[in-house]
Amino acid sequence: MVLYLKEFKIKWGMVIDLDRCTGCGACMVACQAENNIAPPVDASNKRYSMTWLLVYQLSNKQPYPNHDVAYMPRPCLQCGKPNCVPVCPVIATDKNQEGGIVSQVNARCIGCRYCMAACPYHARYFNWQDPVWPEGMEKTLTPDVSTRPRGVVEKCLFCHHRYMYARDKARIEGRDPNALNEGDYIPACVEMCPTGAMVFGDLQNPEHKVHKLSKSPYAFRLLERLNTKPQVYYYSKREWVRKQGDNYLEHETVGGV
Amino acid sequence: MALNRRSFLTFAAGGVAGTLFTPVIWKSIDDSAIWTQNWPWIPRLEYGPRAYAATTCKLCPAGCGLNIRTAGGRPVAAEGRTDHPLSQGGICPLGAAAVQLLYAPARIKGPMQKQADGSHQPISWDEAEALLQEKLAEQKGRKDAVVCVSGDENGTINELFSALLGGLGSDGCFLMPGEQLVASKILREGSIGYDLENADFVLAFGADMLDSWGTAVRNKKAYGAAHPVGEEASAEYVYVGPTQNVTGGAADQWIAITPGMEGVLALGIAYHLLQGGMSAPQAHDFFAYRNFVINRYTPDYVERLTGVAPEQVAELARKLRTANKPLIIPGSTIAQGGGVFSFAAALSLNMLFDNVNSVGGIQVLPDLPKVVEGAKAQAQIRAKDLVAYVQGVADGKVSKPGVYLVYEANPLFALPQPDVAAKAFDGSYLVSFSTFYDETAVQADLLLPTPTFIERFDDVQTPYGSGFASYSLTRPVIRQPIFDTKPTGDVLLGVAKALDIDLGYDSFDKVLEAKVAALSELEGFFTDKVQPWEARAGKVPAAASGNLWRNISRGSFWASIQEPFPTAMQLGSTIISQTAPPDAEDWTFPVSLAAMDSRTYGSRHIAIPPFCLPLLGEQEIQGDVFYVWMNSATARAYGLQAEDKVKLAGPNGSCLAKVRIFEGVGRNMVAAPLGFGHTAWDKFSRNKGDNIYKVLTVRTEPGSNLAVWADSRVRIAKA
Repeated sequence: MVLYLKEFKIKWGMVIDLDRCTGCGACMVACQAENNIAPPVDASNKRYSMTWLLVYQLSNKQPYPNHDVAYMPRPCLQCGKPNCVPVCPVIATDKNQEGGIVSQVNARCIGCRYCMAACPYHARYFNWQDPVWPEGMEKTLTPDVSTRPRGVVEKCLFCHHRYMYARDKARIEGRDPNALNEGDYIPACVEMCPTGAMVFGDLQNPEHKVHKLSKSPYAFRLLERLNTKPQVYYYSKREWVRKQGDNYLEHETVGGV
Repeated sequence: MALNRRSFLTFAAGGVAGTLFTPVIWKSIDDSAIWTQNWPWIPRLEYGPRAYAATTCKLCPAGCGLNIRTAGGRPVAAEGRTDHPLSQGGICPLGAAAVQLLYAPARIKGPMQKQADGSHQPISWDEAEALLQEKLAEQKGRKDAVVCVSGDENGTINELFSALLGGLGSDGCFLMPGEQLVASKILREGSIGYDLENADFVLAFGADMLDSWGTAVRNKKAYGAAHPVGEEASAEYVYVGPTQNVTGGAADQWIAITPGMEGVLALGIAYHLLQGGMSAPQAHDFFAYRNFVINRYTPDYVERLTGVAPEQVAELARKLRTANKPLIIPGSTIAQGGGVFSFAAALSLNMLFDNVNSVGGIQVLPDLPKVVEGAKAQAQIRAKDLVAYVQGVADGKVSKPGVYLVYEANPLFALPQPDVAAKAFDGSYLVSFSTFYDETAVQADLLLPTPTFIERFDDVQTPYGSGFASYSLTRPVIRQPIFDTKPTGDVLLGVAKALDIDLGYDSFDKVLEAKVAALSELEGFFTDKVQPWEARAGKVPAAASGNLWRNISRGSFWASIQEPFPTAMQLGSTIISQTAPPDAEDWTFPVSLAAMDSRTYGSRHIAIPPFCLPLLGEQEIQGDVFYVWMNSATARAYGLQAEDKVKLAGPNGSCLAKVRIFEGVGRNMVAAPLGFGHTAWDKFSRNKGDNIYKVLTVRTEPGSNLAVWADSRVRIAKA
């Protein structure tokens, strides 16, 4: 039954410093442009809007003046044990390629949305409406990511096409495509972040910064107790942020620190 | 034949088996799968070679470096440039949406003229320019009959406007309001820069430095570099402001304060510093300053006006004293409408620390040489107060000009009390050089659309807030502009020539070439090896040499850290004491209004771009209603709850909104975002929320006579 639980030599992952993220949203716009997501006329209906990466605002819920906020960018967390994969009846989503990125084959998706129901992070989006680009704006579509029709589920793929380009480049330069250096492959959101709050690399490779950061006592993963083993780590020195990120109850202490 | 149960089952089973063996059903499932995923209106991707073009962003005054990614020659995405000191690979949400704005439905597709029924009809460029020339010729020689409103704070285009107006006998070249206006009241020559990168304690008064103030992306980079992931921070950032905005939320400490009272807190800190024996003997007016501060800005008084506890003020003074290189940044929370008092008061703290022209301190930056004959000096253009002028025209105290030229600005939306601006503009011939169909363009008699910065040559000189003088170029990424647009610089030169006004150039490109050539007068360098802040800290850069134009037009960034002239040290005691805020409570309008600006909501002249809409949270806008924020105690005091409809009323205007309970807003205060409530533009930005500029109230600051509105007050009531 656990055929999909494959182990990978390379695990691409992120560490996002929530103390450093200012919540500006440059990553969200960069993601939209990179992945050909059509602009919505009314984005206020969040159930129907499409944002592969979403920046949430966290609050320590203290009254003024002791209030504190943190911003949490949430891409697809690329779980080590993804809930979305076993429920897909047509194997449109899978985690099988070296790198450990959960794939999504748009052309195979039948829109049943089981994966959305299974994902505890709301990282998957259903294309409720036809994607419409204003006249001419379709010229700004990048050739890297196919456009998706209405009726399929979409999600963040860590800009997988950039991974392919980085591997191709390594091959051309005579390097091992399975031993990319830090910085060879970076998703659009990480590259554009103006404060450098997002760090990207191979979680298994000790030479990459994320490897060490993910082991920091301040690092945590969302809803860790569900054991989905996300490849996105968050980092915060503030205890209340870690508590909320991991859904700790009032009386519980945060693990690690 | 009788159909019994047995034969029925045989028939049914045979039928099922038959269906499985026929290809029809499998073929039709396959077809339907293909059909359902091949909607003809879903665009096909176009392939082509990938390339990058380095340019500079003109969507807001921050002047970030952008790399425009192209595929087959089509711009597809904007990325931050790693080799540009003002972006260092980062980008803001507005800049990231720049390429898609090229095709925003709000683009003006060609020159247009207003008809009797108020609609705009396309005309040719020849007709349009002839019309502009005719209108200007009518005003030639009449004093101050032509006025220009420019939304481009740092482009050479302002020299052309100013010289053209000079030739017509007018001196009305205005910039849209910004921090540079207030700074110009303190510094007559040059501008003020902030050496963030070398500071180890940054105290920002009001200035929303991580979002909408100054060189925002560079500020974020400096903040990020000082807070490396997984390591100890090397600098502390403290934000003093009314709301926990982007800067307040990200800074190491947020100190909530009544809007407009930042200067009082600054002098409250100065009180502690002076009591502790700090001095600035090099300043001529030190003793006057000392007496004024110690007598008036006592802890009790400061607490009453600012709402900040005395211990907190003392603690801030202690932190400043123990820091090695403290930097104090003055500013208004909306980067406009602040007074000289707050600005000068915060700036004076820098002088107590002997921070002027020192590493990690404030810098006096030289203005780049002027190249258009007859143009006013940049400092003179910066110092003109548009809001006061518009008010004067509306009140009939200043004669109404015959023609308004509006360039990359949207005064009928983005000036405080836009109805006053409408009154001042009414009856004059209004020419709009806007790229987009904004509120001012809708009212304009003549539309002469300028291409976007991705389609034209333009420049950025030392953006406000930068720590060094700089110059970079914007250049066309595509061969032909998408629509029938013409660079405004070329239009102005053509019209000037027809009016027999010699501006000395044939095309705007030549003006820019002359500007670049004039840079060699200053000690500048390219930032390919040494960054300006490293140079200031002692690293020696190689002086810029070779063909400057070739380098800069290909994307090189020119910077200078030259100190322009010895500045006489003054703490500004006279101006601070003259402009001090009145010690009075306004009970008619009891609630302070903290307006909020953010690049998510566009900039002063760009409405929320289509690609930025998903950034707006559920508690920022729902459908067409937007939210104003207040803390739970304030809401309780006015009988309001989350999601209640509320009316904000100022002395001149009101607006409707819903209530968002947000504890990051101070007492008796309501925070409201600027940039909503557009009535023009396109379906992506139109009719969303309401325009807070309507509620802002302009008052004249005593002593400086400057129009200020950052400290507006309102009445709130359940609607």
